[in-house]
Amino acid sequence: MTMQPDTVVAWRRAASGAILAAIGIAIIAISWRYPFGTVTQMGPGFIPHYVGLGIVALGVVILITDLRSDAVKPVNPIRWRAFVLISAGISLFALLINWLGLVPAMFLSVAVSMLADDEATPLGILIYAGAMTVLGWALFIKALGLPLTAFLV
Amino acid sequence: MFEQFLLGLTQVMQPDVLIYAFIGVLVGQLIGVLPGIGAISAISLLLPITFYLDATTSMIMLAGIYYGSQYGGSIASILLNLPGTPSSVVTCLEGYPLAQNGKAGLALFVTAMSSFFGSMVGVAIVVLAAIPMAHFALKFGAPEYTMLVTVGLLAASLIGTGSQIRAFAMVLVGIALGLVGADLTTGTYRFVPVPELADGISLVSLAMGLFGVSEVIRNAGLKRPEQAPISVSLRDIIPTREQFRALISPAFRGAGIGSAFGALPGTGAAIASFMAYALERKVTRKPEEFSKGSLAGLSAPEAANNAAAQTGFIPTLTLGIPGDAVMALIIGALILNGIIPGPRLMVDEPQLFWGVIASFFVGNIILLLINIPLIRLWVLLLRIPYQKLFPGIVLMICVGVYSHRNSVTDVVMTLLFGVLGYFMKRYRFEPAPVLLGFVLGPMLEENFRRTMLLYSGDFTVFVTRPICAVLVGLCVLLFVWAAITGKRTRKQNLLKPS
Repeated sequence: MTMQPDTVVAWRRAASGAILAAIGIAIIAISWRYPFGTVTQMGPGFIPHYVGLGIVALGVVILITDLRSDAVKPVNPIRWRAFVLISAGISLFALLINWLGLVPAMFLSVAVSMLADDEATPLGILIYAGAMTVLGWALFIKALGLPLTAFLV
Repeated sequence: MFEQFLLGLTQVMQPDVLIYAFIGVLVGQLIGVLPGIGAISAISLLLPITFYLDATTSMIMLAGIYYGSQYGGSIASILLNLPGTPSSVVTCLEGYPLAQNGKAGLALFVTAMSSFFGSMVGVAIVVLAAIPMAHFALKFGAPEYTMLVTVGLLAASLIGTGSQIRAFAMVLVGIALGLVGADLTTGTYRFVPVPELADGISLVSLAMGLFGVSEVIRNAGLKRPEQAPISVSLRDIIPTREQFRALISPAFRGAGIGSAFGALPGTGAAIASFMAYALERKVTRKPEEFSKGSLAGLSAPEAANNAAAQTGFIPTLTLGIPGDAVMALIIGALILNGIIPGPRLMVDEPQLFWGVIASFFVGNIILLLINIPLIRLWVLLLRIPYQKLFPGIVLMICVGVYSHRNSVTDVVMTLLFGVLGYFMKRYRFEPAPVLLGFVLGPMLEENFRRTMLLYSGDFTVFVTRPICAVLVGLCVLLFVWAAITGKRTRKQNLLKPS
């Protein structure tokens, strides 16, 4: 937060290319463990190696072009509220589905992700999440007959 | 081929198939209308359901969603100035001014007719090209497939509206994600941090994460300024004889461009509509009408994106090579249903092959019939705020991903891809090339390795085999094209959506 505005802008410009290049380097590093082979008899490491190299190369090109272009696109601030609550809703589903069953997992994931909307009221959430859960149960278990268990506990 | 087409038609006309064709085009039109939910998200949401249907019926339904969304996309463009699908961005440019002048009904009618016309041209080309193309493709060996996939991946990154280098980088990231799992030739596990990923990353997770979850994070809780849709009067919707006559050549030009770009692997409906609009601006005798509500500028891109949505199935069905991200998902659905798409599909599964093609014909007639009567319903739906929709979408994503292979890992992966997609968009990286690279990557690796093995590492095979040489030529053309247009669009940025 104490960074100079210029530094922030430079970092933001450099970020896409730098991250991409880092991903490429990681791919090369991991694929080093797989046999490389020859052109005629390619091993499992051959293609990943070149894919990683390609990503590094493009990352560097993007880094250079982004740093050169003077126009910085304004980026909206990250919407942390939506980001955290939607992620929490999906994580809750993953956590609960094999532990409590489909119905509690559906109810809690809908209720928590609804909090991303700062105008949602507790009563509104209760009604909406309840309705969604009933609908989901009717659709997935009754109508489609997916092999899911409504309640595990 | 008419015999086979009739065989397909009898397949589609069975009531239990017809109902799914109807559901497909209806859902397609609905998600086309709603901005923020595209055909890719809708198809990935419905992908798990297709495991409970037979392959033909699922394909007919998924295909219907795709071309149905092309019809629906223009409705939000005309009434709200919000493109419902990427391919209807240009529809806003002419459609919304028409609606502001009280000609919404006329604009909707013209887009419906142009869409239908474009689709029918596309379907006719699919029917005519299917058999020769599949026969031709039987001659393809590993070198040809390698080059064909390369053309597709290059076209996906080089033709388009965004940055070409960024798109190409995303293709490579997609290929890298496709490497996860067992290596097809040696069985070695690559990039497998947890045993659950030994089978590779699930296509459903990737698609739902990149397109569904990231979209929800971007829009949940976002306050859009209230924008009431323009009211539609359904009087005066029929164009005059003079207007109609002036639309014939734009519609033909649009359908032609659309058919060509649809059939070319790597390019699809969105690019076709941009190209058709650009051409129409150049050849028009009434340039003063453009951006103020030109019917020709409305008709051509609509005919183009619908024609492309149909001819996009030519490489998908005859070669097994998806032309764009949606086709990649449809190929994925086929493979998940245990069917290997490729030139043998027409011979091995004639019912499926011709059933799907005939369903385009039936589906487009359904779309034309329901389009105008349902306008009022769509206008009503456009008033539903996103805040009421997104928790339901989260639910569909969770249950859809989980039920696919009863895997909690898949749900977690979906969330990770959602976060990835969210940050990608922030740094101007498009997610569609990732999906294409993911599906085409393994095909590329397998065919390239086989080629090198068969021809003992001799790269000249790619220019000495005639079909390969043509494809290499196409790649060179793509680079030349990209160099020319890249420079020009950077200077003008003509077609950038507002």
